[in-house]
Amino acid sequence: MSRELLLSHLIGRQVRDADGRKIGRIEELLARIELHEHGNDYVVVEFHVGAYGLMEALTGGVFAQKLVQRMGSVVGYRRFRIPWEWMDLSDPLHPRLNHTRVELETRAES
Amino acid sequence: MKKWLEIALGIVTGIGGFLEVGSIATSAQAGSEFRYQLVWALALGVISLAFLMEMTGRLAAVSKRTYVDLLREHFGMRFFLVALIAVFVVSLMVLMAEIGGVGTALQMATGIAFAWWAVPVAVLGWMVLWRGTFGIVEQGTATLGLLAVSFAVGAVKAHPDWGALGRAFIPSRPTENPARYWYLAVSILGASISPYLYLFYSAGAVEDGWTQDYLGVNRITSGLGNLFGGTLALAVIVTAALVFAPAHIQIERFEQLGSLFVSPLGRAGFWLFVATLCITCFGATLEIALSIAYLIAQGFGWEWSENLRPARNSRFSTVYTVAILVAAIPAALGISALSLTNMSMVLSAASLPFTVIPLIALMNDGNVMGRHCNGWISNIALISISVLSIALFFVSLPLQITGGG
Amino acid sequence: MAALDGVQLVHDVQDACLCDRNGRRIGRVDALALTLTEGKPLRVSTILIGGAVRAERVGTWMVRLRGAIAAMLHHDRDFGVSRVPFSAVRVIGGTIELDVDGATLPSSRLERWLGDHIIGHIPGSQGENK
Repeated sequence: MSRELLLSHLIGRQVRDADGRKIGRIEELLARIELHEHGNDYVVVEFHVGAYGLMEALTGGVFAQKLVQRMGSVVGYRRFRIPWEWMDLSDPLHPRLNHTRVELETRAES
Repeated sequence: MKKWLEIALGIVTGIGGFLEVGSIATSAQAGSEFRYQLVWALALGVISLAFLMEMTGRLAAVSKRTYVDLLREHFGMRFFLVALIAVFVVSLMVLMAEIGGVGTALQMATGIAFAWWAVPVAVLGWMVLWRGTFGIVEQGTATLGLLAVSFAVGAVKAHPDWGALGRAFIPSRPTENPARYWYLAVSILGASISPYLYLFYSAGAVEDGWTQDYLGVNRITSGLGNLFGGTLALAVIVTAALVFAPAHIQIERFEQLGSLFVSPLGRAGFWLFVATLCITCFGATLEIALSIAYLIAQGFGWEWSENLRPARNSRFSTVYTVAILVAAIPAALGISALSLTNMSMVLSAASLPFTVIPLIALMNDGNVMGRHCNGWISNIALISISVLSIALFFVSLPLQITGGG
Repeated sequence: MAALDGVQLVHDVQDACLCDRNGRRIGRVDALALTLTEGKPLRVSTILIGGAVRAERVGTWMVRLRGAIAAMLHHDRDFGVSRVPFSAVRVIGGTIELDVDGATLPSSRLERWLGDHIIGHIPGSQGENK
């Protein structure tokens, strides 16, 4: 069964890991073309989750992303690129990873 | 050859287009009450405007998108709405003052009260926008506005103390009435750095199809055009300082300014002032009405261009039509151009942060500007102007209350 | 746009200006609808253009205000919203080009109405360029 949700409902949502620990907020979705016999679609392949994604939720534009990324190392900001299959959106308002933060950090480092 | 013509036209537009009801009124009041003391505020305003216009012009030439377009896209709906409301309200008030300015000039020429002129002026302005192209709107009245060069002639003939004038470029504290002094300083800055000026300039660069080849033209026209234009506003300060200040004349009505250039230029001075006020305010009326339409159309992604027939972009043409007709109402009701001008110039200063600060992000974004991002000089200038705009935001309302008179 | 590198939905798509197959501007990407199917990646399905979805981006107060205006005009809450399948996207650049005729979209209704009922009746309004 399929359902529709809006991008704006996902952006800024707090993401927790499998243990319920906070990871950050959804800042960006990366989509790529997927080819299939009936045509082609853009599908989301990655979720970009950052510690200060709240700013993105408040101002709602590209500027906030870039500012926080630039300030990055100074303010201890960290951004994770999470593959779609790691994200559980059965409750889209409360997205969860089906992996732990430790696994996420291990993946990010490798 | 074509580039030189573009540069010449751009400078003419800057000269003829700089003066309008705000810069004339604030400069005259500054000169009559504080002689040369507020020259530094005008210089600061002119330099700030030159930098902002150069940047928004460069932004448009490189990205082929207007500043408003990029503002909406990069800062999202919520921020854009705040900026939209701030700029729209201020621009509409300035538009009201400009129509009042044209009406006042016609009253001075004919004796018929300015209130009767408000609607005919608005309708004439609308007809020019309806039928005219962007080139006609931008360059037509600005070329006629070269009449304002007579102000510079008048100021020189009034024999100013050049030494004292030169020293006045350095900021100084007021010798008396500080609230009024700083109020006029803020008003001059608001008149010089009106958001509609650089938003219109950015839209114009896209209307004219500017490319990266125009970066040099952009730098020269925004720099020299504003420098020469600012000199004409300086001429108003100087002449008011020499004609009104010694007689302790306080400017309470626009009509008093009719005698400003009579002393240095004779009876012709009166007619030159009236004609200049009429033409420059009319030109500003067209620019501001278009600027409001650009702001809304570009922000919401509607079809827009002054070069298209109105039915091809009906929402855009509806906006400037409604704006110019609504703006005629205060003058038609007899509200004085001077009161409208004084209030709108201070509000203009207060609205600056919403359109200045976002430029910091855009002008340093390699995806937008490519290899034409701001250098260190432009960034220092932009950050300084941003700090100034924040200061103006906080002091404008208190000063309007304490020094507005 | 580098389709192979991927499209960033917030950076490249949301709020981008849209133009139709005739090169006319028709609005902005006010909202982007994604289809969620269990076990499959999110599919970018629909571009939404128009006042109601734009109001939601601002806040609930704006949604209520717009709803009140819609009720006064005897329209439903979603009036004037265009839903364009993402498959109609031809180019994603500074402007997103869609393979649709903008004149037929619900979000262009006001543009058409003004052109047909007011602007178009005033002399000098018709034609292409001045």
